[in-house]
Amino acid sequence: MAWDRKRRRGFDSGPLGFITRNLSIAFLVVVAFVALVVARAQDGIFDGVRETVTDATAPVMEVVAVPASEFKRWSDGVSSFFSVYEENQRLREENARLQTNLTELAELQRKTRRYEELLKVRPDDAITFVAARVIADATGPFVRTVLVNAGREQGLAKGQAVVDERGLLGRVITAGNRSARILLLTDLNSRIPVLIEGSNLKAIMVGDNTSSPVLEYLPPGSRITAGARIVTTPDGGVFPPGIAVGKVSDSKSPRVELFTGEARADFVRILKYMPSVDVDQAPPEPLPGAIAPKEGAATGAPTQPAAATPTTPKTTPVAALLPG
Amino acid sequence: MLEYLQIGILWAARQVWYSMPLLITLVALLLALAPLNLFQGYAPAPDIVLASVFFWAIFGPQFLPAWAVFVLGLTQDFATGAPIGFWALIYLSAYGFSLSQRVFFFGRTVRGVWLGFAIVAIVTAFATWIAGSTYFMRWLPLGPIMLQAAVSIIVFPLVAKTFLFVRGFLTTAREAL
Repeated sequence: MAWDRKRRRGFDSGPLGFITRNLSIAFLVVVAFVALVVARAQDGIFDGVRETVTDATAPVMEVVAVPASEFKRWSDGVSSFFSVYEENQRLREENARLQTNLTELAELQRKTRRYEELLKVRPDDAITFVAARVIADATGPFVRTVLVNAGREQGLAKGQAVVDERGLLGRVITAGNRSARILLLTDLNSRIPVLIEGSNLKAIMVGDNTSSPVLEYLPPGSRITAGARIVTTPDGGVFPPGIAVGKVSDSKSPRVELFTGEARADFVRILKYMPSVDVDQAPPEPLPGAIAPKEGAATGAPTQPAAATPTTPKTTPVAALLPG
Repeated sequence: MLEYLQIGILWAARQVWYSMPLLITLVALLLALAPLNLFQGYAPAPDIVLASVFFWAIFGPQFLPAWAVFVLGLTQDFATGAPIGFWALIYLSAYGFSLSQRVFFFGRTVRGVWLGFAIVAIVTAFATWIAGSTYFMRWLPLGPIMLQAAVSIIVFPLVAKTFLFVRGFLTTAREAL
């Protein structure tokens, strides 16, 4: 046994290894617990460190993402090979239907423009966007975020909406210099003001780590129909209006079937719509009858982040960004 | 002077060599974050870190000491956007629990160790659920957490085989006792 003790290799393999091991576990458990309590007490305290670490690891993640993306494309190709005939048929039918819709859409657009001119409606602000590649997908059972390879240098800021070709995906929660973390709509911390089309009801869509977020704060006694389309509202100044989100699911509880689903796109677009408030630090709504603060007085709301010059800005009306 | 330098380089090389389990697990952690989106996102990626923590706690805690487990947990916190300290706390607890059962599990058959990991994975999943629900002050859905535990249990033999191979380079069975 003495021979074994002398010859054992590793970090804490000495005669006191057992004691130092248990002491170090106890000490580190306390450190982790304190960090957790501090993170809970002061939200965003570690954001700076997190951004730095994310920026540092982003190049590695980017390298890893390329073969992963190729593998995904290859596996998708293999799986679609067996259904190529059915897929072709389906696409032909869809194409014919869309051609008809396109003609109707052009006519509707012409009419809408005409009515807007007559009513002297101010047109929607054009919104620029940045396209970025998804380099990490941390969608575990606990947290639902993705990492993209664009950051403050490309003009990204906290709170901006992120979309893919199907609809709203989430919003930017931390933006480093060259990378940013996107909080998906399904995450537990996601709260999005939405509008239910048709009934014109407003609600807050709350993520709960399942694939279908819940609709909360619906007006009492309101009735919503399954299949009703859900879009963003500009309420709270966080998102531009009209971004397609999903539709009301068939389930009994008011849940949303997201257009983006569980499958993630390789590339996303971050809309450079400047939120008028910081979603995490916005002051509470004043109570009815409360005295409004003086113009120019400090309100607690941070100033808008300085818009950096985009590398390749593209200007498109929001409605044109999303087919919904 | 040259001798001291040689000793220093050799010492550093040895430390890097001993850090193989940590480095391999870190690489696996980063690979698991790659946007593969297998099964269209319906099946979660296995918790390779937990499998690694359990394996090394049983078959060579000197090669994955507590500080390495802490580093792994913290990396996962930063990489996934989880609250800082959360996964570090979970993995250290799983490490401590596995280490306390080391005498029982060491030398068992493959099935025995697999069963051991299954117990640790399920207990850890419950601990994660309770800790997460406490942190966010609302009940988290238990299903996805248990599903990840199930996926981790299924892939554990593969992870264990890989680490057994690595362990062969680090030590002999007799020394590890």
